[in-house]
Amino acid sequence: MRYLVYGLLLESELPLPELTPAVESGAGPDVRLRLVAPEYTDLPDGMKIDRWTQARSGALRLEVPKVGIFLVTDGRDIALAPNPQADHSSLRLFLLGSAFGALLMQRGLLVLHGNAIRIGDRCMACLGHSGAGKSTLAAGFMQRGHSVFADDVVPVTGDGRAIPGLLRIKLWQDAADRLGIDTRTLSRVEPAVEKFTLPLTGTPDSGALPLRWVYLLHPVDDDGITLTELHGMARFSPLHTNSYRPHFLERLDLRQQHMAMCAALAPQIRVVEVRRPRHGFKLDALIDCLLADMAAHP
Amino acid sequence: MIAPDQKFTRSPAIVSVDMEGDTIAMSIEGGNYYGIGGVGARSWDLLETPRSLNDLTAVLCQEFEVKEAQCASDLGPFLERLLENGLIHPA
Repeated sequence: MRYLVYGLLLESELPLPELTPAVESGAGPDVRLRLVAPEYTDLPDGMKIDRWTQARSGALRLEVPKVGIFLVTDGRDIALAPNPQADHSSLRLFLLGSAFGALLMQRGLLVLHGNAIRIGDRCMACLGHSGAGKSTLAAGFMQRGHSVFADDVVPVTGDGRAIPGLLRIKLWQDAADRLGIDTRTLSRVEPAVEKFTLPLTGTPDSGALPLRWVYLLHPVDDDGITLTELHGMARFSPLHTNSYRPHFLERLDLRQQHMAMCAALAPQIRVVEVRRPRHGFKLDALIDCLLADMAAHP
Repeated sequence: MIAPDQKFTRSPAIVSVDMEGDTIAMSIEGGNYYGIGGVGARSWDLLETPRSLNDLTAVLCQEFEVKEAQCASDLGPFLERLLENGLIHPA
């Protein structure tokens, strides 16, 4: 089966009904996903990243307990040995997250961790740690009529364009409550984890859009919302920390590429640290603030 | 203490990029990233070829409004830090 995902033509032995099917054409796929027996996912010369992950230049092996083993090579091949008890949503979660994240890095992209929202003919990215409020903010923008361009995995090209990602948002139960969304009708992202998939409104944009604004969300013990622009070398550390799986970079031998891409991106983006109140989200005020900042700095 | 006529240059394993006038550097062998800002970034530029503290002082005094003695006294500790962190080595 063929699908379009992250701007790539994927030929997959695993059905992926969440993805956009690709029209049959003579073109060869960009990426192949094959289902294999576990021994075909070995990486004998891989160096350890963490308990579940090994990698070397051009190859990353990720073993997720009760789900499966993913071997991602050369930005083109994913060999997946699913655990017989694995449920499809878990397989999809790790495939479209970590496995594809690594694949996109191998393909020479700068992959950020956050959400990207379309603003006119460009996009803005919202980055921050777990719990910083990225998903809630993205859902809030969506409710105001802005389309979410990418969620969780934000691939950025060498010329500073963000590639449209998957159209879904992971929402925590409390964020959903805040937004008045009934989670009973949503499918759970990962069984037994209280996060849900919210189908996004808006059609997938076919093209990549220039990334212009990057907002770094920090919950703080304060009442107000403050915005601070970052300049020069102060931008590098947050871009690195908020890249997708930065701990993959070293073993994949991609640190230099990553650093160069951050430097190439820096001149065209406005990078702003956003301090928002930890208690009492003030979602509308925050969105108003960001929209005003973007209008003031087009 | 850095001898003022000792030549230094960038260590071969170090790669760096410009970020709006500042420099970000890293070793290709792994480890930390380094940020070099302001006048330091210009010194880093110059260290692409072997330079001594005296060489750097001469150039920087021409390019910036700084007295030679002040410049030399700032550069000493700066070069020491680059040396300690393996970013430069004696040429």
